[in-house]
Amino acid sequence: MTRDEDAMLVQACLEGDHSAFDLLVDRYEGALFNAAYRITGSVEDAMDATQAAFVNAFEKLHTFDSSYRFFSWIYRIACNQALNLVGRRRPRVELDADHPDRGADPEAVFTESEAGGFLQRALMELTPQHRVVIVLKHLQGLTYREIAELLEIPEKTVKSRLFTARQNLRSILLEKGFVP
Amino acid sequence: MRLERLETLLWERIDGVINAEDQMELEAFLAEDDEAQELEHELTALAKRLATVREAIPPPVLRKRINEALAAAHGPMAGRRALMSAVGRPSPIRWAPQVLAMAACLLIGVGVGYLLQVGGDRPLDESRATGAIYVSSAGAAPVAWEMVLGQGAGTLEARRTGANVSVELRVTGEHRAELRLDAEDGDLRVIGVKREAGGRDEIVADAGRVIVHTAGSGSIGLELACSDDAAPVFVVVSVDGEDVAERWIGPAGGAGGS
Repeated sequence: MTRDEDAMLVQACLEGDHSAFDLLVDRYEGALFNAAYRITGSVEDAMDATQAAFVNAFEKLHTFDSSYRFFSWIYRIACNQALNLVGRRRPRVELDADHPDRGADPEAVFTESEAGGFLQRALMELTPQHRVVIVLKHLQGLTYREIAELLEIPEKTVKSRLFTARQNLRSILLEKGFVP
Repeated sequence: MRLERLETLLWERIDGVINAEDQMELEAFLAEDDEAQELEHELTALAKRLATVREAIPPPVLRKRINEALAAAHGPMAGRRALMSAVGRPSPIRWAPQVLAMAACLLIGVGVGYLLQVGGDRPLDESRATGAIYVSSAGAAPVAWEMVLGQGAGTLEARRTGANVSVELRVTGEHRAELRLDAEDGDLRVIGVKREAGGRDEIVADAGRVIVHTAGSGSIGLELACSDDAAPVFVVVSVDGEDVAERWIGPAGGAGGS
């Protein structure tokens, strides 16, 4: 991660150079959108969450504790935004709305999973709390520690939540015909 | 209880955080029990599948929305270039290509794409209302990508391996879509077409350019061959007359993301 550069950009922004924030948007827009999309299952909600995260971060930049990583801070804001949207809206999966259900054929289901659509549907059946740890661990590649920092929960809780989330995901996939 | 312990150890190993003592315990489990091996296979397969889920690429309009929201909150952004130098980030990565981008789009528009530079970062026109996606053919880019077209209009997937390019356009709903592919150098030939039921389409191939028009829900996949395997291919998708996605597909199987 580019922790030092992020810190410099945050400092520059706090000193009045708002263009510095533009570079932080450059750096994290994709990652935030991706996480928000996997959590909400909706492109529109993911865009709303990403946009709100950047605006909130910009407005509350003076409260940012520079002993932490900016990446974790803004990620946390985005994930919370996404989870809030999930709590308020009915989950939708837009990407594969036009994909046929191939549940009867395990091989076909497996192929579908490669396109992400099948796994995304399974993810949407998890609780938001379980979904978010799966997304952060497996799709975003964060460590237990990073997830703990980001969600502000103990590392031990991350491990146990991830354990349950994986078990549930596996059950959902098996029910849908996913046979590794 | 035993199964739970086994599963914990397996995930620790998959996550790369298992210690030596637990590793020995796990190996003992696996050595004595077929069921343990079966679970190992299952969890490993699940982890691999999760790792292959592709990155969801933000629709170009998102950046515009963010910029507008930030501008509304604190005034328009400016002075970006100076700051980039200040933090040691090479400004050409964003700005020189941006200038080239406008030229690139114009040149492609009049069919003289060959005037563009070959290789390196590919700029796009950020002045367009739909925003831009910035692609580097030289970076650690994915071999394949999927792009969400926005507003539920569908998706575009693409893959590049040497001279071969495959794209699949999926349109959801009663939209009219246009997919344009331009090879920067040389010819671009259609060598295969795959359609799914629904929707209508028309393909026009003209030397270095291939244009596909579709109407209605459906999907169309194209297999294309570039006469020059080093030539980048520029892809633009329009939905209902508005450009919603544009991207370079790099020459070495590399198509980078924004």
